[in-house]
Amino acid sequence: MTSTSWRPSSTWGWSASAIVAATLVVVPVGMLATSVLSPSRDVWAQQWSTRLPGELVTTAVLLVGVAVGSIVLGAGLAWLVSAYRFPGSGTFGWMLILPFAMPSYILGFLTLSTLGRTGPVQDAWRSAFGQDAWFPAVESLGGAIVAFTLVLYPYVYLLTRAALRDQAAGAYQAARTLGAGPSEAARRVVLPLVRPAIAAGGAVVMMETLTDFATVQYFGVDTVSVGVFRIWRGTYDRDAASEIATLVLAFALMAIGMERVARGRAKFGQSGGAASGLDRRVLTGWRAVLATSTCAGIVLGAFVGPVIQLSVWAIREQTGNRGTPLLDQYPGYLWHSVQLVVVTVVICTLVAFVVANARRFGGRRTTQLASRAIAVGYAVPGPVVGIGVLLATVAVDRALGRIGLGLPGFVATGSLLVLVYAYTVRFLAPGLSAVESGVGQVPEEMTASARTLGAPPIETARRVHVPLARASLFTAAVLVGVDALKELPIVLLLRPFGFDTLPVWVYNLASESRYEQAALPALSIIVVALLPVYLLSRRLEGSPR
Amino acid sequence: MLDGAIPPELSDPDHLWYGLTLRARTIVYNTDRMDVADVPTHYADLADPEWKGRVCMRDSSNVYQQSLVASLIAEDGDAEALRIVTGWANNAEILNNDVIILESIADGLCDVGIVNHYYLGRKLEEDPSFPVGLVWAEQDGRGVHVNISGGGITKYSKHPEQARQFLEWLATDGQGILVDANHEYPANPSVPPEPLIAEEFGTDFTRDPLQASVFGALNGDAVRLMDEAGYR
Amino acid sequence: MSALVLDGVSKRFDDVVAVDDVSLQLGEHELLALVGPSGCGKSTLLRMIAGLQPPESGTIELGGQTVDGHGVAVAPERRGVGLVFQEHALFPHLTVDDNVGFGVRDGDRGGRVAEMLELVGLRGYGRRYPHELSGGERQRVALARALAPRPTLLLLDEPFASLDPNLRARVRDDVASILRTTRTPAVFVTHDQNESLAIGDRVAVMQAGRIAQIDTPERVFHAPTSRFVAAFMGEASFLIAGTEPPALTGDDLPAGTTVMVRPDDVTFEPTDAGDALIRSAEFRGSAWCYTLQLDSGGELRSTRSHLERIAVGTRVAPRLRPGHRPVPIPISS
Repeated sequence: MTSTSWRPSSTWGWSASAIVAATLVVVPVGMLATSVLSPSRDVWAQQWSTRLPGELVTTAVLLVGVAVGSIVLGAGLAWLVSAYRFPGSGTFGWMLILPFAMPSYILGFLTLSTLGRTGPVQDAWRSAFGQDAWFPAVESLGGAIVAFTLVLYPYVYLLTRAALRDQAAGAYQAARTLGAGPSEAARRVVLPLVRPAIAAGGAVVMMETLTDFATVQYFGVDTVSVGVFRIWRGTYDRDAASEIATLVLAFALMAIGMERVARGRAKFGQSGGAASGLDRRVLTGWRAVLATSTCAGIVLGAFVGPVIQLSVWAIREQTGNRGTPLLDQYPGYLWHSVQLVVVTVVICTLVAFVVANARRFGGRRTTQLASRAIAVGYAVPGPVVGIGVLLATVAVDRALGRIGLGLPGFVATGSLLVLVYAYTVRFLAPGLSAVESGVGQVPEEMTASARTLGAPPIETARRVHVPLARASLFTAAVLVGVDALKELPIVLLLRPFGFDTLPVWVYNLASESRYEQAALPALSIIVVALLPVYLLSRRLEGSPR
Repeated sequence: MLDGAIPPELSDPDHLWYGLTLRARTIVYNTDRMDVADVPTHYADLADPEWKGRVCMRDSSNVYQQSLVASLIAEDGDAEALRIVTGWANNAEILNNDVIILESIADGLCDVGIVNHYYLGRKLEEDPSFPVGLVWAEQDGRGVHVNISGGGITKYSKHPEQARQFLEWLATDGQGILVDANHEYPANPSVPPEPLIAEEFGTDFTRDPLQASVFGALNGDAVRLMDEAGYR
Repeated sequence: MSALVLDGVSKRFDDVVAVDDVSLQLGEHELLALVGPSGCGKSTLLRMIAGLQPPESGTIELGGQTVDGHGVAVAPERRGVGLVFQEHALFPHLTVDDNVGFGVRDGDRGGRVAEMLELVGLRGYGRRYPHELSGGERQRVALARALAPRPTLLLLDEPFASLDPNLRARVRDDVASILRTTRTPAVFVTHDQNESLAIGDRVAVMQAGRIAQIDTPERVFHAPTSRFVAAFMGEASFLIAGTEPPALTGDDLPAGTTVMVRPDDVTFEPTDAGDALIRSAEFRGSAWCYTLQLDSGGELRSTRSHLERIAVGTRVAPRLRPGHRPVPIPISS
């Protein structure tokens, strides 16, 4: 009471930090978007008259194909395990999310190595049916759609299952008591209720597909994202790359738009009373066999099979007599990945915690706006983030140079700082949403009590919010860490010379068909990526049925 | 000392970097299905309509394909380079890695292709009966296109003297260790290549003396030219 | 010196005025009950006093120092106010000891904690965690925690609303007596008029962001200055002097004056010559409450001993009980 302070200033500090964080996320995307305003005409003309139309069509078909595939598979499987009982249905309930741990660039090279034109399956096929025997082209748009679908359907699956559990069960039962048969109730009541969840899942799936340009290259599929990578790494023409990247951004916006339309006016995540789950019908006979074998086939094809294949390769590579000192290189790549992951996790978790607290202590509107802006980062595809961050850091570099603080080769060689910045832009959002939900669950009264008991905001955050939101901080760290560990496109675009991470190693080896050598780093990534899958499965199974 | 060990065309004119190993991008063929005498020996030959449907090549995102096309631009000019690449685009099945090109040739899916020599070296090491052979391209003229792996000392190096000593070692006594595992050719002419490629591919071939800095500078033009040619 | 002075305090959210030009003073050891229907702005007012929300205009003084207004805005942690919530808001990750000691920043922390637990009758509970306590115990810990840093003012926001009715009256009395023991001035927000009457030295009735009346419990109940306060603080019937029988409205008020009569102000005798009819009867345990329809048009209620029961439809003559007076309500309301 003795000293007075300006409350606006303490509020201001929190709002300001949230705004700074949001600005750092938005600026690269904004700079990229504004590059459209000053197009270099010759680049556009050249691209439009050559590759671009094809790339646009390919991208559109790929996105729609993967979205439709993931929705059919994800929503279908969710309905199957939620509405029916069959041998293994409980186990498949969580096993079906395992492909979450499988990065597309790993399943992609596994597909090619086994089913590809020179792989064992097609070799055997040709020796059995002749040299010109028809076999579906694996290195194709169709092949890419199948591979992406197999690793991305869990997004739709998870969201649909949650919606079925939280909202649709009660409505389904009500419809049944009103005289609707099971299929009529499913069609007229359940489907409309889970539609927002399916739409949201479809949008995420499209984003994830759009961000990739490594997997599609294995399949010889040239999307706009490949175009960005190719222009940047092939010509180092920043303007051209950023202009093509705006098209990637446009696709992302379209995906969001499609979600809005598909969702209609329904609200997502609206809970309808007690969650008791659906009454699951027991399947028997051939229906049970079909259900079990479908689930088993998916789990086997998308996860278990690939992991077995990788393990065999890894063991063969380590015990073989080739004598490649692969294990000697392993620690180096691992160290690069660990560095990048740890720095990204620390920064993202810290910034997320500050922004989440700013929503308590700062101006309500500003901080809410800031947190929405940060959420945008995750919807922005990797190539857009990569080129955008490049533009932003070049601008900073130039500004520093102009005032005589230029750092030698700060950007030109692509510093680690630039890479970490890009990772933060992309992965702050999942961290923030986890931390925000954690801090948001601390009752306002708890914060108010601590404040009136004499604890300033920072002390309140430390003594009350940290211990109460500890689980969410951990979740945020895991989500960000695993995303950062798996990330390939951004590191391919921006990595400093010689800075190879585990995914880059996998990508390089797989690009040269050195599959056996790629097995060990690929397995390492999958094992770590199982951590958030475990957390998800616990949430899925631990909640009321 | 470095200037003595590494030929000038394999180094930077300003001595900023020195080539250490060489990757030759040349023509390969199926030894079961073709006689070596029928194998084309010029990159431009593969643009002839007679090879339609019989060629496998690497996609335009690949840096080696980009540098090969850049060398065509440098030496044959824009128009001729565009004609050649357009011919390739018409003839070739375009694949996404050199090993798959080799395997496709071995499986009889194509007859000829263009790859970096060491991929074939690796394949032959695994399987000596691998039915793919190599001819050195452009031997009656400028020589086969070569990419360089090299090293230099950064401007802000903390230990320039140790770095120089290490480079010198790599250019001389260290050459063997560099090339033994990866089947590349040593840049130092007094060092013999490792036995497998020495025996299979020989050491007696002409390489294109075009400076890497020249075709490196044309890389962006190469990418655009491939776009124009409709080369995926 | 006043513990709290509000002068012209206002606050709006978007276009909704939550608190509208509120002024009041709180005596050095006074307990003020702030009562009103939900949404009347009482909780917002409390949060502004605590510094959790800035007022839009007006000034707030605590213990003679301006904490809001005149370009000053003191942060909540520097105001020296204690706050007790409906849900108690105990820190679930801390023991009772650590909860109570949270705000004690100087001197003998352990001693102060022990003293506070003694005060609220929870000696020996220090090692427990909040989830191991009953609702009433949690309430007392919350009080101890708020009092431990010796606040210059205690604010209580619906502190008993989460307790079950049997416990409520007892805890309420305990809290009131603890506050009187420690002589801590307090503002106490409730939507329950009986609670406000029972605990407040004074009662402030809020309506739509304004203080409708602030006075002693007796006067707020028996001498409301507006029809709203009259109706909100207890059951009331409104009659118009000159129109309704003088036996109910008195004979010294100008015709047209609205008067309030509460059910216990009125009695009646069954008589065929009566000027009212019993329209309905409601059993309230200790009494019957009758609704009477006056021939002159008005309607009023009257409570009467549960020992006798008078049939609906009986004609009666109502009048004021001896000593009770009709209360004129200013026309402005």
